[in-house]
This record gives sequence, structure tokens and C-alpha cells, in this order.
Amino acid sequence: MPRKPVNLRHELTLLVIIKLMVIIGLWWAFVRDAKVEVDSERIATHLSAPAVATSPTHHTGNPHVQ
Amino acid sequence: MFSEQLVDLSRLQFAVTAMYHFLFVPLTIGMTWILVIMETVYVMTGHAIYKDMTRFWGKLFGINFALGVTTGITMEFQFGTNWAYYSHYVGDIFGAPLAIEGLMAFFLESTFIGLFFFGWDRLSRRQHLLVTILMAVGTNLSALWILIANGWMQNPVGAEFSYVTMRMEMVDFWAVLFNPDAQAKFVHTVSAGYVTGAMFVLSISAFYLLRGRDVEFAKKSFRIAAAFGFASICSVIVLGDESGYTVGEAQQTKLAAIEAMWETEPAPAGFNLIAIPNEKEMKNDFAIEIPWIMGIIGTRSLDKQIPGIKAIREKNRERILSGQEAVIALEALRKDPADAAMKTRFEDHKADLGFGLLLKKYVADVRQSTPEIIETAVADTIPRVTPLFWSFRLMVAFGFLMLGLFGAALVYSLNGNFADKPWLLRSALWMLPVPWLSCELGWFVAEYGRQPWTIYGVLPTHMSVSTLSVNSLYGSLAGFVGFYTVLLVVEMYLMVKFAKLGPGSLGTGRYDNEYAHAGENAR
Repeated sequence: MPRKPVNLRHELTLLVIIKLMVIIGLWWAFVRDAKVEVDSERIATHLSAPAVATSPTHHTGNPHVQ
Repeated sequence: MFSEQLVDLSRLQFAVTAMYHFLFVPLTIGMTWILVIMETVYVMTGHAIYKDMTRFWGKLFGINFALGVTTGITMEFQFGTNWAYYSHYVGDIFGAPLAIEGLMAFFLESTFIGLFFFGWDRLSRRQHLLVTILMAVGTNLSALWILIANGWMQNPVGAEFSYVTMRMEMVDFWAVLFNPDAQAKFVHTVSAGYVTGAMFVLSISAFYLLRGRDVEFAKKSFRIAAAFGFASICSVIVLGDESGYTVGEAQQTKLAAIEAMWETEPAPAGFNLIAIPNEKEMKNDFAIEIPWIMGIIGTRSLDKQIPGIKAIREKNRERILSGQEAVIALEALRKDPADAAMKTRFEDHKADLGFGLLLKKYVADVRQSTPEIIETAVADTIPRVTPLFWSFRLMVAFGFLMLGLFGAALVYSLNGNFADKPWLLRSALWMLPVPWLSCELGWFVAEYGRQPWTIYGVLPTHMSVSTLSVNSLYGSLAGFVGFYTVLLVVEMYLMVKFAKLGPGSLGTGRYDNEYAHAGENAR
């Protein structure tokens, strides 16, 4: 039995539109309010920030567990 | 406060999105030139089958492009959210090629891709071929700018740190543009894309031949893929060797880690074919070494030494101590920019500032760095050896496996009897995922091998991340992974569907399964 003709162009157009909507949704949910403004003062403060909680005593010659 | 969990999650998120993104990219890069070859033959010979080949493989290319386009944009999101300090610190240099790439990708490349699909009935043969060529050029130029940005992360040339603006500033655009690391990465990476495109066409053509359908179409496609693939895999191997050549210090560290080369050997150094690295004791528990090879590959000479990991660590210890001075002077200059003595002290140690910042992972005031902290920071400067050693070897093994396949496919294509070799066709079919695996392994080696830096020697990874909440990172990570997984599933579904339909989906009346797809012509 013949199958229904496939209109790839319509499928891809729909796909790209849905994809753009999802990307905008992701931006809306996770990016919009998460923007971190950085200037020279802020990065100077960042460079002077307190150390990480990790103690160097736990380190061996194999430190890159991250 | 620097949180290791935050750093890990930010790295994981970027790695996952980049690796998903690069499932789409190499096929786009490779397919464009295969389409150029097929259409050129059509324009030169006027044989309709080559037009059908361009349109059919162009259709599969279109699916990949539609699914892949904008998948890189989530990485741009992350520069602003997860990597805000990185973006400020190096945005002056890193942002320029990214902005140019945006113009290339969204204007040049997308415009010609649109013309490629919608111009068949509107343009002359030669005009359409020109469009296809420009589409390929645009795609490759897009890759060039991304790899210039990435190459700068490996070898940050043409820029200097300003203590006034607290960021790196570009001083020589041409040095950034012609960065040897970037150029080597570009040619190696796009060649890998060509291999991916060739393997894609070779595998699906082999599938048709094994099924005994669309035989002439599949044979012609197979021959083109075999020749293009063989040339491309040779390029990948030769240019990969060029990429491994120690053009910069960053590459030396990475090279030593990839080779599990703990000691500086007399020149020319041997190549560890197989080894069991013992990172704790900084030695190999077992190794099979081929004499001379590493020295020749790494230095292009018989008398130059390649530094081993222990020697690099010693050098890095000195740089950390010098960097400590740079950090102390920088903090003083922030309080009093007119302090001439501090300015001189800073300028003397500025080149090692990044190494001094490694100490900030463990201590707020670098003056309070104990010998133990300094040793830990020294250990940090070398990426983990075992994952790099094995992922690199797996990538190379895949490369030579593909060389064998494309070599055999080309030889039998020239003999004209490849269709009678089921083992060759089955090998081609089963090796379809191999170029993607190689590409992902290659990126792993390149990026993991750069740790603990985002910009080698300039900015440590832990200083680059934003101070976001861990929960928001888990949320966005899940969102991105879910998004990409859906795209990948849809891509696989459409690719399998249209590959199975074959050239009959063009509705030209010349291929198998035509009855099922009448009316789809020109879509």
C-alpha cells in the first residue's frame, strides 16, 4: 500500500520554528535573569575572593578530579 | 567563594553542549564539499543522475543543518551566565572572532544554504553551482573563526593584560588571526568534518548496494565518497601530526600528558604505544615504547628534547612563584595606580600572572601561600594523564581504521569491483559512527588537555566561572541536555527515514520505491 507522501520542507520548517521556541524558552527560564554584570571593580573583587573550601592537604599528584 | 561544585557543573554543562553541538557540525562541514563535487560533475557532464545525487544527499544535509543550526547558541548563553568572568577577562579578544563567525554563519552560510535548496528552479546550472560552492566556503569560514577563538584559548598570542581595565586587551589582531595553533586546529578539524561527510555517504551507499537497490546511484556516490574520504583522512592524519607539533608551551604540557612522558628523555624521544600511567608516582607501570618517533613528531628534529612532565612541573613552580609576585603587585596597583615601584614589579612578573592566580584556588591572600599550597598548585598545572593518554590513542586508532577502509574503498573503486565485496560494504556500513567518535575524542583531548586553564597560562578555570547557584546550574543543565537529546532523536529519526526512502524520495521516476513518493519532487 502506498505511503503518504513526505513533505520534508514543511517538517523541517516546523522543526526549526519549534526549536527556536524551545531555545527562547530555555533562555527565558535559565539565562535572562542569570546574567552576571562584570566590570573592572567586580573582577578585581573576584580575583581577591576567598579561597575554595578544598584543603590542599587532600591533594596528591592527581588533583584534577573535577 | 569559589565552589568546586560550581566549577565542575559549569564545565560539565559546557562540555555536554559542545559535544552535542559537534555531532551536527562535522557532517555539515563535510557534506558541503561532497555536494560541490557532485554538482560540479553534473554541470560538467549534464548527466541527470549527478543532479539527483546532489539533491538527495543535499536533502540529508538539509536535515542535519536544520537540526544543528543554533545548537551552538546555548554555548553563547553560557559565556554570559556561567563564564561571566571569563567573558569580561578575555572578551576583547575572544569576542571578535565569535562576532565575525556569527556574521559568517547567519548571513553568508545561511543565505547560500537557502539558495541551495530553493534555487534549483530559479537559477541556471552554473549559478546554482556557484551557490553550492559559496555555501561550502561559508561553512568552512564559519569553522575558521570558531577555531581561531579556540586556538587563542590554547595559545593566547597578540594580547596583553591591563591592570586598569582588569582584562586582556588585543594588541595584534594579525597574531590572533595567524596563531599557529588556530591554523593547525582549523585544517585538522575541517578535514575531520570532510571524513565525516565522506563516511556518511559511503555507509549509506553501501547500505543500498547490500540491499541491491538504486545500484547505479549508490555506486557513483560510493566512488565519490571513497576518493574524497581517502584524501580527507590522509589530511586528517598529516594535519593532526602538525597539530601535535609543539608550537607552543600549552601544546608541550598537553603533549607530555598525552604521551605519559614523565621524564625528559634524550633526543629524539620515544613514543609510548601503550602504557599504564601511574599518576600518583609519576611513572608508567608498563610501557611499550617505539624509539625516536615522539621526538621526530614533536620537534621535527633528531636533536631537540621534548620536556617531560616533571621538567614542566619544575618550570611551572618558578612561574607560580613569579606569578605570586604579579598578583601581589596587581593588588597594590589597584589600591594605588601611581605606585611606580609596584608598576615595575608588576611588569616584571606580568607574564606569569595567570600562574599566580592558580594559588587563589586555595588562599585568598597569595602572600600566605604555604609550600604545601604551592606544590598543590604546581600539581594542578598538569592535566590528568590517563584519560588523555587513552582517548588520544583511541582517536588515532579510529583514524587509521578509517584510512584502511577508505584506502580499500578507493582501490576497489578504481578496479570497479567494490560492489562485489560484501565485506567492504558491511565494513563501510558498520563504521558509520566512527568519525563522530573520533571527533568527540579529539575535542576531549584538546579541551581536557588544556586544564586547569580556560586560557592557557592566563586564566585558570576556577577563576573563570560566575557565582551562580548550583541549583540553577542543575536546572539549565537538565534543560539543555533534554533539548539536545530531543534534537538528536529527531535527527536520527529523519535521517533513517530519508536514507531508507533513498533517491526515490526525489520523485524523478528513475529510482526504486518511486510509487510511494510521487508528488514529492522538488521538495
